[in-house]
Amino acid sequence: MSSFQRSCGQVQGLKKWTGMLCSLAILGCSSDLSEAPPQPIAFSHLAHSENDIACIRCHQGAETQAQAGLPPISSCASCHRRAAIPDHPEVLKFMERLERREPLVWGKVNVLPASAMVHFKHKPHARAEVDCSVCHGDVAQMTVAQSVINIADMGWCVSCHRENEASVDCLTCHH
Amino acid sequence: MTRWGMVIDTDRCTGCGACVVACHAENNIQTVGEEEAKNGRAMHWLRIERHYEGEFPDIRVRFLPVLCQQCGSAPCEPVCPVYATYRTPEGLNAMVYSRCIGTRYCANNCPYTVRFFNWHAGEWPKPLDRQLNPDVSVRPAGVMEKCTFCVQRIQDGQDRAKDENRSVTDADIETACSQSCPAQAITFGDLENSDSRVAQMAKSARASHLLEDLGTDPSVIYLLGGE
Repeated sequence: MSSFQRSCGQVQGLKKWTGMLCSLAILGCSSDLSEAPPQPIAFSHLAHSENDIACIRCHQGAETQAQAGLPPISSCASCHRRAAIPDHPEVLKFMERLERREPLVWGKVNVLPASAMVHFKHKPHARAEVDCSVCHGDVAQMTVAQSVINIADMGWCVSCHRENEASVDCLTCHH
Repeated sequence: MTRWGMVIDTDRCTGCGACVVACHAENNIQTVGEEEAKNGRAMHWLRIERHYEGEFPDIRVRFLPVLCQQCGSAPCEPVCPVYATYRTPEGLNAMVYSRCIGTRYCANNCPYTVRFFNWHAGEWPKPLDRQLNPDVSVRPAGVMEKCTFCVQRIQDGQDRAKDENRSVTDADIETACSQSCPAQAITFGDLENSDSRVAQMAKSARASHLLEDLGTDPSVIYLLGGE
């Protein structure tokens, strides 16, 4: 490869890089906290919390794993099939999906920007007894789940880490 | 205080390359292909250097696994204009991908040539993407990368120790390269902990640093081969 071709490659690399920077900037500006993502069924956290169902009951990984996770519809069905409002139209919707063996694809409420390359883990936060609502807001009172903080704002994370003397080393999250 | 370190016994190394493969698999390192390798853009966070001693036919080959030396006084750090590479409190030479703007000054200043620039984004055509390690970021084009001493494994070990309310021991953390070495040439641990294997091995009369006279204060210690 000639030096000319090589430098062309470099310029292309630079262009790609500039494009990425631009998309980063757009990502940073476009977070709209008031907008809740569309969901496959009208799930209400409020209705569940009123029945004393704790977050951990469905988001089972929150205390032990990196991701809190979402339950499969079969576990929704285990309550809803007989005992809990089996005739509700939204319940019927997912029961139908279950019969067809199709999963529900939930809309993600809190999305970390991929460009930040953050490896967030729920487990250490649960161990430090950080309440779910600190980051997720009072989801228990929400009919439609939506984010209450700008998750793309690293300052939010860092200020809490500082207050609680948790690590503020970059590698803790970005690696 | 903790200072993560590694001891490599060159007498044990057979140059098999298992560590190189393990490192690629663990850390989502891309393979650049023949053309790019010809341009000197091959990416191996860990490579095995071959050194020949003597004249044919009385020849002897020595192998030297070379990786980021996680220097205490790293030449790559002060040249970064955006503080994307720095020394962590645990003695790692950190590389923050999301901060890197790709000037490549760090790679130019590294005497061990163990930093690699992503000229292109890595490609893992389906179903190869399923082999990617979810604990390690896939680096985009335009970003520098290098050995992290498997920081995700360090964190995992620390997490387990914290669960059990105790301090980290040798048994908690093993890097991908040391785990895969059939000859057990590579040992990882805390150099500051006098009970650790690495601290014991570092006392050996065979202990040496790579390019020691540069004063980079590496965290990788080589046990030189005997006669």
